[in-house]
Amino acid sequence: MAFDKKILENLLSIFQSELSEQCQAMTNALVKIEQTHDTNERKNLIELIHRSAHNLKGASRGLGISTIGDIAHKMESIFKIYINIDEKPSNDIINACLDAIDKMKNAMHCFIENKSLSYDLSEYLNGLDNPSSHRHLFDNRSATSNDNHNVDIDIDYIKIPVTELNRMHEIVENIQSVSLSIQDGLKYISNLPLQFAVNEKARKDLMEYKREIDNDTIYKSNNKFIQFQHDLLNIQNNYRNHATETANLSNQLQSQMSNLRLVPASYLLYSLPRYVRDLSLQLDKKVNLVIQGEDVRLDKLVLDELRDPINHLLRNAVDHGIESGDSRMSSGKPDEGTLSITFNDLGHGIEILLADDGAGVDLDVIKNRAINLKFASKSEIESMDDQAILDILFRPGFTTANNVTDISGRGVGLDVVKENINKIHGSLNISNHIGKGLSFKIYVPMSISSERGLLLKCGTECYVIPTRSITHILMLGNEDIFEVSEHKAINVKGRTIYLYPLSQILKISHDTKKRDKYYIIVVENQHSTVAFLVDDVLSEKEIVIKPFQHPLTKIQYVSGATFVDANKLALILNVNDLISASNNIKSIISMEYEVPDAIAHENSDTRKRILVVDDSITTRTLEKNILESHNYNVTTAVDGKHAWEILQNEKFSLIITDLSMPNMDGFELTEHIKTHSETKSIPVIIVSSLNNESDKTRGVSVGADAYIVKNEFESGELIEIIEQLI
Amino acid sequence: MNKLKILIVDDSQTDAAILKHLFTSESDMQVVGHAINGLDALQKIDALKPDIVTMDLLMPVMDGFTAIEKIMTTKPIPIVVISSVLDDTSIDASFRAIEAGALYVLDKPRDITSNEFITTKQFFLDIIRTMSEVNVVKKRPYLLNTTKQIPPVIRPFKDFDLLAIGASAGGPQAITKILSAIDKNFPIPIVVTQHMSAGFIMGFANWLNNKTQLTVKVVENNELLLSGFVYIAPDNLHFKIVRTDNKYAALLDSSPLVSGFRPSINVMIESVANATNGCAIGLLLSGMGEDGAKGLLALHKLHGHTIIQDAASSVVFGIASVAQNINAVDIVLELDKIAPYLNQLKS
Repeated sequence: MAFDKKILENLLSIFQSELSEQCQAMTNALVKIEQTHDTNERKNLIELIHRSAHNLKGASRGLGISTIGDIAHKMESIFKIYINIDEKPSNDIINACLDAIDKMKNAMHCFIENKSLSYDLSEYLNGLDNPSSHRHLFDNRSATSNDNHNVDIDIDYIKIPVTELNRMHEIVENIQSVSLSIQDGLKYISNLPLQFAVNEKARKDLMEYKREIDNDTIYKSNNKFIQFQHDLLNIQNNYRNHATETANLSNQLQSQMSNLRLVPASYLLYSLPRYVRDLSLQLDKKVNLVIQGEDVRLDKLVLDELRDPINHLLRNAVDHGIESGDSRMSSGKPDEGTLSITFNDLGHGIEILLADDGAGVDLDVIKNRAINLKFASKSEIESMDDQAILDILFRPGFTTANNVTDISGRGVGLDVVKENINKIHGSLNISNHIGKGLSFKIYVPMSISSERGLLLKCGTECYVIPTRSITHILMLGNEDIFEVSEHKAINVKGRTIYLYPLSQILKISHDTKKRDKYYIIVVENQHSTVAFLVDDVLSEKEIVIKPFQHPLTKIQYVSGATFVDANKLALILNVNDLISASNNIKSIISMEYEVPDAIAHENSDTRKRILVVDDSITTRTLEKNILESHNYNVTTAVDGKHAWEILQNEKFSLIITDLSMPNMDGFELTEHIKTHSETKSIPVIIVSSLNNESDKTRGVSVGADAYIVKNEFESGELIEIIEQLI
Repeated sequence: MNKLKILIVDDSQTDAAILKHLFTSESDMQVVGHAINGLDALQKIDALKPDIVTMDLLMPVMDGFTAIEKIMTTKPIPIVVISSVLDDTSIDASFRAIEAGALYVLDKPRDITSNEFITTKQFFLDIIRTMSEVNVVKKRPYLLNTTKQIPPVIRPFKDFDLLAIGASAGGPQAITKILSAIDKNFPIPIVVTQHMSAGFIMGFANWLNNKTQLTVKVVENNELLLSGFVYIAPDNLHFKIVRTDNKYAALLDSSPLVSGFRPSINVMIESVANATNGCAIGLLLSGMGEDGAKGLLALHKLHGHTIIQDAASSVVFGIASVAQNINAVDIVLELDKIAPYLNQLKS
């Protein structure tokens, strides 16, 4: 072979990035051709597509990926014709080419995974010649746009401008030069003892009074000492400079490193025109997408996390926000709706504005829906202001869609959007203009790699609360803590803020010693401000967040961990979770805890008992933790047989069981439970790793009360179902 | 040893990377830069002073033709076009490039993982090496019509039946120049074997057809050869000329490679020598190697008239110099004088 494997791999990854770039460029050009009325612009776009297809053809054939080469060649010849005839390609052609682009990306996957294509390539290519008569081959827009997510080639590297690397290089060179001066300094220091040796004899003589010492020797020795003192001062100065310089340079290096991770927003924005086009075609609406701020740069990690929320908001806007052409005309708007997305660089972070000019949200609809869905009582709703009503949109499970469509309204709502944004330490605000549209303002930090946190102690453990959520750190005495409508509270600059022991929220024991002074940390998110009582405040420092890996993706109250010193980890607390937990306590138990010896009712266990049956220790533990954090008392069993034995002696409010287990599987266990009079009234939830219809049917036929799929634990669905059943 | 300094011009990162690996794995080659379009190339040539440029054609901002024209009219250096134009209807693009001053057109490497690529690779690298040594001259945008002395016919043209032209690297430019200046009523059929990458020949014929008053076509098997036509040997078949009655016809066959080539110039000119019994003119133009020299010698021995293009006007003075060394040549002509010389042949 002419090239070794390593080089081939390298070439292949270059090609993948080129493919993804060119596909994106062609997609956007195709979408623009459809919209533009400017024949000159159209000509340029057609030339661009022709060139990109030509380019991909050559490159893919070079690497022997003939499938992509053939599709690209076909596209090239199609657009070659349009270059010559200067005519707008029909919608059929544009659809077919968009599909061909997806097919190329898919062919790349097949090539890498060494799989053959799932269709006949030559038949497909023949069909491309005459798309209108072969519409069945690719006029499947919903399928392609869904596939789109799967076939998008995800490449985990970014382009770095050479100027940025040069800057980095400069810093490194400076570090090298400091390192050289330090070495020079070391040489200088090494020479000092030698200089002293010269004077050694005089010193000895002086000590032993062996001979008379002349003035000259004393004078010389004295000079030597003065010189020495001088040298020491010099060394001290030099080293102080070196230390400052080194600190300076390492700071520069760090900030330059994070700079390198910044990518233009266009990485994300490029894919949106096609996305919105497909959506609006599917929903038969006319939508013009206006994009601004493509050049704004932000951390690739942040940008990746923004993708889902932004797609979701766009989907909602096209589906629910922008009205049909007719209804727009009748309210005096142009029949084409406008959807705009703007990235603004605010210096400290990035602001993203996403607005539609649709009908906006009818607050009465939210109110009624909220009452229907039992999110709040009628009287509670009455007392809420408009912003609070709008915020209901972010509650889990809330949707205003009347019917579930392909596009949105599937119950996965704005709560997920908000959560994703919180995850990257961002915030999301909504503003409603009835009749004129709905807009969202997202704020995200430019980078999430490092931030500052407050290290504190609660019980025996250390925790970190991100500094940016903390408004005050206070030291207060008993006399500063008072009661307002059965809540403990403190006064911070004239505001009354509810106070909770952090240990109560985290359900851990804490230091119950009576003290004169208490450490209190005031935190806030965009909804409320809450004060937490902690045992000690240790320090504030820069933290590097280590996010948890699957399956620990959603642990209540915790967003990650960080090293507090070389070998000690501390959990980073999720302020949003803490605040919403404290809101719940407010409404459920009305703060019956004493401050500070708050932790009381742990032993007199009135909690409901749940039996968890699963042969996997991971799943068992995960379920146990989730349930315990929602205040259930959990017993576990390793299989159906074990569970059945436990059930003979103990009473439970609910049973959660896995399906496939040794000795006795979940179906058999459920059947046992449901056919014995002592146990048959206990609700049973079957939890399975597969979303398998026949299992589901069988589970229901043996008497299970609910069936859920394992990965749904995390979305809070399990808890919801339990609450319904008990 | 000074390494050959190569500048790669290509808007495809992948293709550029493939070429780069191809060149840098050779001990005598060195890639000094990569330009992503024609304009970038002009700047990088100034800054990097490469010995040779590989040029893609279809690129944004400034395409390859424009870049080649600019380079060749300002500070000429050897340029080899590497472009995937092979299966396009616009194959004449590559000959436009040659017209603009590129020395050679190569198809982009195909499937570098395949075994065939190993042979292609050697050819590829040889072309680059040879072309880098070509002494390119500034191409004047407007060529003045020089009234140079046309040498008199050194031996009287007596009933010649065929003109056979053989060429390799640098041939397309030379053939174009000759055919565009040849008389409309040139009295005898012209047969041509031009070494060329597979897939280009049809485009070459079409392009050439627009440059001359004669009719140029790729020859078909058993086709009768007529005056007023130029017949080009097809891809991958030997072009032999046979006599039938008083006419000449083409016989195409896929017998083994001769002197490393199929079509081979030797095969064509030898068959011309035999079929016409020496009543033919043989002309060897610019080209690497020696395929054609022996054929010309065969014709010379049968008292045919043998001509070669001179060294100064040849892109590569290879085949012709071998022919000269084995005493197969009657007359050496510079390129500009070949057509006027031949035009003295009247029916």
